[in-house]
Amino acid sequence: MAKSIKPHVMTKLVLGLVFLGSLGVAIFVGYDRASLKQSIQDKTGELDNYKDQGLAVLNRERLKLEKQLGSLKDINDQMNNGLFSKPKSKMPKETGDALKFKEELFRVQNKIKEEGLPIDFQFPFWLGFERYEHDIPTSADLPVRVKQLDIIREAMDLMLQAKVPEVSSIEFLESRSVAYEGGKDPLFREFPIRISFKCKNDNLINLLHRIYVSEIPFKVDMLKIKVLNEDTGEKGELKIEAVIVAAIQQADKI
Amino acid sequence: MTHAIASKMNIPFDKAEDLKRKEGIVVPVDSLVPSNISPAGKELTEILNTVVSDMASSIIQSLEFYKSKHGRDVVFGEVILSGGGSKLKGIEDFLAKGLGMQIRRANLGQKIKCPSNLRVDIDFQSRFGAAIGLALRVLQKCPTNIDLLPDERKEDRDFKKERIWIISTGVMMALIPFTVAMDIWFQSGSLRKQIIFLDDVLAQYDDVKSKIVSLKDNIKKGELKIKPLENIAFRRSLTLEAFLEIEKLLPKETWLTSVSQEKDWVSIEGRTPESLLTITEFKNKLSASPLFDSVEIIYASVPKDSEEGMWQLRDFSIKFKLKAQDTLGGAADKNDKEKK
Repeated sequence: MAKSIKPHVMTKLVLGLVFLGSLGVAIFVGYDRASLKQSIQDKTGELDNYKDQGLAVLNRERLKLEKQLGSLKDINDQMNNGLFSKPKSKMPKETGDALKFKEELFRVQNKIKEEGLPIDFQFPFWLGFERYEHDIPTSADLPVRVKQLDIIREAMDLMLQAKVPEVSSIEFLESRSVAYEGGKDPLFREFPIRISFKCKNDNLINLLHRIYVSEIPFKVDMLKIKVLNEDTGEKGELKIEAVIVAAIQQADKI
Repeated sequence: MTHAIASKMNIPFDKAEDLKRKEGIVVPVDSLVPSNISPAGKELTEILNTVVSDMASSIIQSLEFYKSKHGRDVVFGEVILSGGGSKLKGIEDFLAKGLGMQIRRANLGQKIKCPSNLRVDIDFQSRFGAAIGLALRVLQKCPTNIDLLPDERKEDRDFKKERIWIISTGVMMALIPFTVAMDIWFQSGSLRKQIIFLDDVLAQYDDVKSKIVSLKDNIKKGELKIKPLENIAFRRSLTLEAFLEIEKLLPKETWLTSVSQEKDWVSIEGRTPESLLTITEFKNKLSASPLFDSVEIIYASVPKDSEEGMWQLRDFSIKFKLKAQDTLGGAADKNDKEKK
């Protein structure tokens, strides 16, 4: 076929192709240049957004925020240390077995009974663990029960120290994990206990103070105080129902 | 010649023409007739010899007439044969001897442009010689190239002549856009450098910006993480502080019969021998306390006799809210800042 094409036609064809190729290159380069210009315009527009700020200003803001974050971390560490530094405020790594729990329960009962003798301290002997009088906790329940025993022992110690003469009932409410808003990782676990007791005003204030400085971080969620002798108000005995909540952190947390 | 053959041999004209072309030959008087000629051929040669001898005589007469007209000194050097009859075999020798001049055939290729195959085509040379000669005589006054090449060949010939010029011009023309493109490409180099610089600056901005966003996010998370801890820390002492504050603000001769705190709300009930004004003052003191908010008297009864009958006692109930942690925390932060 190529032979049938005359030389002058072939030459024109080749020149035409060279021209078209050259034109194609020119168009491509022109388009490339236009897109480069557009790109520069876009990027300049982006830079204009920062014209009021400047890199130095942004870096200052960054440094300020880094400092703020550092302070927050410090505060967080301080709070964690302040609240959960004591072993009592942490979930135990090893919970032992159910029999050991019962042994410990008996030991605590007897210890409270013994330590309460000087003030004739009255308390529900099973310390809220009535169901384990004839039973033992399941392995799933065990970690929570062990910690609850720790908590109630601390609460009873506080009562004894505040010379509260009588605790009439103890009830463990459902514990719950507390995470930060929008977070999944629990920060700590709350163990609420409903306790009813009788004492005088001084004992109550003493108890509230001891709750404030306790090794286990307690807070009072509910408090109902009824003065038994309403007419005098003096030296009156108080009947109190309270829900105190212990905050306990996982052992592996700071 | 053909007419003479046809009439003398008594054959048709086209047969006479055919015979002339195939076997026609003239032999000079002093030369021998070739031995391989047939009897018919001999007769044909005799007829043709007669005709060509007559023609030679006529030529001599015409030349003599020309000399007599234009001068005796004119010398005729050669005779140029043309026309269909000039193809007759032996005519050149016959005329050369008969006229005593050099005989040659016309070479039209020297005078006109024609395809190379025509240059050696005797038929073409002999047939068109007279016509072309006549035409050239006229055209000598107004010279024009007689070009017998077909158009396609002409294009080829013209292209070959000018191909260097055409190709170089074509290449130059074709490369103009390419040259422009190269120029634009080199100019674009500065734009590329500009883009790299802008990218670098933007990357720095983006880097700092993303760090700021990430820091803000972390700060927000940090604040959210601290909130539950703050809540615990704040509420550890809240009940004690509230209790002590109430006791501090409680008017003389007034006592509480019940206190109820549920989360942030506190409701107190009390008894007093004092007037309503005392209860209102107590309420106002509670309102002024930094610990309490939204204080309101729920009720205050008319005085009633006490059980011992010694007192006229008035029951009252006040409800208020423990101030939010944020409010107190915010105030503490403000104090810290002022101290700094």
